[in-house]
Amino acid sequence: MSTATGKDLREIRWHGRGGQGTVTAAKMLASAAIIRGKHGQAMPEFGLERSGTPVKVSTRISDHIINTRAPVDHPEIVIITDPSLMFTIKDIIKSGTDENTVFIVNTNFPPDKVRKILDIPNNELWIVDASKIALEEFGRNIPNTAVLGAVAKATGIVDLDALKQEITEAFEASSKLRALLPQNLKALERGYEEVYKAD
Amino acid sequence: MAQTKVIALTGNQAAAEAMRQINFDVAAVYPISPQTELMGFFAEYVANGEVDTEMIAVDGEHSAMATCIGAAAAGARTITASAGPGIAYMVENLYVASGMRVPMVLLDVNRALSAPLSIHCDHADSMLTRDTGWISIFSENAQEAYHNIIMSVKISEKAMFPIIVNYDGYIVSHSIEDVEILDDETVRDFVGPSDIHRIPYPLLDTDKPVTYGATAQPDYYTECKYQQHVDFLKVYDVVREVFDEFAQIIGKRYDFIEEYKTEDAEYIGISMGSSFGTLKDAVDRLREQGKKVGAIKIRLYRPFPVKEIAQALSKAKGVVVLDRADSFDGIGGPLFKDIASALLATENNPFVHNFIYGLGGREIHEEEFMRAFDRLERLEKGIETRENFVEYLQVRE
Repeated sequence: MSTATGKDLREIRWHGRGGQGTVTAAKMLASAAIIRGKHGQAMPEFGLERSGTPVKVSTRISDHIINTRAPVDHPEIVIITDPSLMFTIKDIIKSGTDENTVFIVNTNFPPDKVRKILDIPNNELWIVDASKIALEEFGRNIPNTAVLGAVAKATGIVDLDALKQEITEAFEASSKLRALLPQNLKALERGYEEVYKAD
Repeated sequence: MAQTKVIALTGNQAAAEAMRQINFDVAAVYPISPQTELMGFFAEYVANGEVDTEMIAVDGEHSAMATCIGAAAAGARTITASAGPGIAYMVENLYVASGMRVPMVLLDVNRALSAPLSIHCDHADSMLTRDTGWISIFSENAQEAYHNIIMSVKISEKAMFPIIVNYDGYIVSHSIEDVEILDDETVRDFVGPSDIHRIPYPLLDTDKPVTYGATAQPDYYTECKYQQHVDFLKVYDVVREVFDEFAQIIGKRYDFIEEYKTEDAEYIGISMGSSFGTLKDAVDRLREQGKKVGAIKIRLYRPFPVKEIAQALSKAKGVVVLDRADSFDGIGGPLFKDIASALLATENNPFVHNFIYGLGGREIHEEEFMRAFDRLERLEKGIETRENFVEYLQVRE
């Protein structure tokens, strides 16, 4: 059986903080790809499971079976769901990246500032103010669904409809989350529409 | 071939799904990471009336196993789950279960043992169970955990021995992957109805009263243990039959071991659990460099697949055994000693080296496994020497 290697394998690394839904978003991205018949994997790296601590998650998507269980060390795409991490764990965020790595950042900073902080003058960079979208749509800084919309637009790794299906199934399965489904679908769409590619 | 659907599940979700489909009669539950979530998912099925399971919340893992022994002896299809220190606390009763010959399933969501305290994955907990007389099967991923749990019910009841299904804590239990799920009817047909007479001496058969757990004086204890010994050797055939039967459903046959590119391999790496996929990727990269390497995964750990291992290693020049637990005994890790013993069953006498890796959740990369192969080759060729059979693969000194 052929296994995932080379260009077919998409490797994504997420950096967020506990309680913001980063692990959930990473899993939803893999799940949406699985809905589309691909192989997907999302592996959280748990430290201490506490709100506010940095969280790192690996997502892999491929047309072929994914063997490895190692965390993503050389991500093609880095997603930062909490902007403050750019200051506190920049070295961890940048680890294993190069000038070809695509960065997607949830922030209200202008692109130049993000480039300067992360020292990524030439990388492909996408910016979305997902926290603002989340606060406006459902009043809590849980930016993950808006970030997912941005990821769909920026990478084309999954289509928006697959993400909608995944989010709908996940929220409807939970009595706590069910009422928040419309707002999160809106956040997903806004993330898709409002993300922009920096010059 | 059965109807299937592919969905995204974590290892714990896949295990809970198997438990729901099997519809166990009794589940004893006590929380410990990373297993807690599994019984949390299953508790929802119980609360929603999707299963008929009597879920018994107990006051500790020792009690969980005692509860299961009583339920299983009565004739109930029984399961519990634990991890790390919870397994350690259960061990006394694991011997009772296998000695009484009660079939049941124990899910071990593999976790390190204290001290220092770690909730993360290694196989130290499972190694505590290796001499308890339980059948033991390891799962590489959520898909295998799901399949192994379904097969384990049948293996256990046919063999009349309890069975442990292992899957790695967090790496499998909390990670999402695509899992092919069978339809409920197929699973229920496969495991069959849970009538108390599916086992020979159900305690609740009041027409034929029996005693479980009686005392044996020195004049009979040995005979009891000898019967257990002889019957445990029959487990190989039972597992083979159930693997055959399951292959009819899933269209793919599981074996006691999985071999990867071993046909012409000079050097072979051996591991269990979630690291095997990474080991396969390491083999692929070394093959690209022209190295004749291969890999073996142990699926059936107890009883140990001696003949299959001896056959698979019958042409190897060197073997590197990758242990996710240390024995602290001056010899090597538990799997190393098993493999070294199995090699007595072949004329071939390969050079065997042992690495300890992945303790307490330490992530493992293919480059590290490539280094293990490199060290093996250098040792085998006499380019390097060693002071001990066992070394640590990933350590800051």
